[in-house]
Amino acid sequence: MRGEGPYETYCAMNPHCFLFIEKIFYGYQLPAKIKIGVSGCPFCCGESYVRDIGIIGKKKGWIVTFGGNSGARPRIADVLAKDISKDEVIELMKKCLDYYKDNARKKERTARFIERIGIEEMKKHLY
Amino acid sequence: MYLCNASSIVIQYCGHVTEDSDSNMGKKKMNRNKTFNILPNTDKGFITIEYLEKLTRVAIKHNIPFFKITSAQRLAIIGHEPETAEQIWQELGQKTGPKKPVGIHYIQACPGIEWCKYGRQDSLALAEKLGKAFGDLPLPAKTKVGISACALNCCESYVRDIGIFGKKNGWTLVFGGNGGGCPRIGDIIAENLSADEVIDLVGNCLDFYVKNARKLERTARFMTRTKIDKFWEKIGVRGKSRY
Repeated sequence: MRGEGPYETYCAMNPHCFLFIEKIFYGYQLPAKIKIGVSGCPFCCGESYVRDIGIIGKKKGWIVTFGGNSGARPRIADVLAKDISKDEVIELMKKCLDYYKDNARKKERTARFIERIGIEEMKKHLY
Repeated sequence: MYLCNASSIVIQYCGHVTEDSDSNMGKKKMNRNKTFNILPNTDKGFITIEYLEKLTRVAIKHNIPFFKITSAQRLAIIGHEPETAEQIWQELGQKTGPKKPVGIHYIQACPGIEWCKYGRQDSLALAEKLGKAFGDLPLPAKTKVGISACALNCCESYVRDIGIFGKKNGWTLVFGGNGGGCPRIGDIIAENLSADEVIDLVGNCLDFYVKNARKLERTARFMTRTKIDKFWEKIGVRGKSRY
């Protein structure tokens, strides 16, 4: 639903790579809108570092970032994990979104949320 | 890969550019998948009904699996065979010409005050002006421009090489942002500018950039390396940087 769930940008490289994210996460009720950027390589055409959730492909696996923003109050996301598999990305995303859902204020974007609580505090609850 | 003069075409191997010494984008590895993508530029992100109809006819004729909307406000034609690139280009009615030197890669603009209730300034008019002033200027590296008509920054102006966003009293100009693999939030050059003042200041920034940047050095890398006080002195205003 508008304002309550995620939308994604993808690079052209692996257009089918994470399309199933939509199937898993659409319908999730969240405190504010979530923008997801999926990039198949470190060029980051999906602008992953300035999205609420960023996923970047490298040779050894995926990087997952959280808390980016490219709007009025920009923020470069924090890296949560490196060199992980696709299944591990999905697991991590579920944990991130559950933690965000349980602890963010209404309409609080992930960038503002991480500025308030700190990424280290969030990491304690993810691993 | 080659760039055409009349409107920018970027032809890439699926996700990678070719080993081409003339390539402005540098040398990269070839992908296993030898299909190509064509990314014709749009005019400020506008796509007309006629263009969509042409695209559809081309796609059916050449068995194009799909189009893709890109972050540069283009419609990428994905997955065609290498031999058909030129043909597709001609069928779209695009002109060809000598390769354009690296410079303004694209100008994104939001619908602006004319089309959006949040718009505070005319982003489309400024995009037009900026394109005319700097569109053909050779620059050290590709330079991406984002023009947002309000502070919501739908064109992500803070993470563009040249970012401009509108407020009630005028434009704010940002320089040296990057939204890619090595991100940087741009430096605020000045606020409350008229459109003409934006053009002047962009000219000053680009002038300094041309004279001092290394080849293929993006503005974000350049600004990280540059002493900010020297930059303010040379462009004639004192802005704000968070670095």
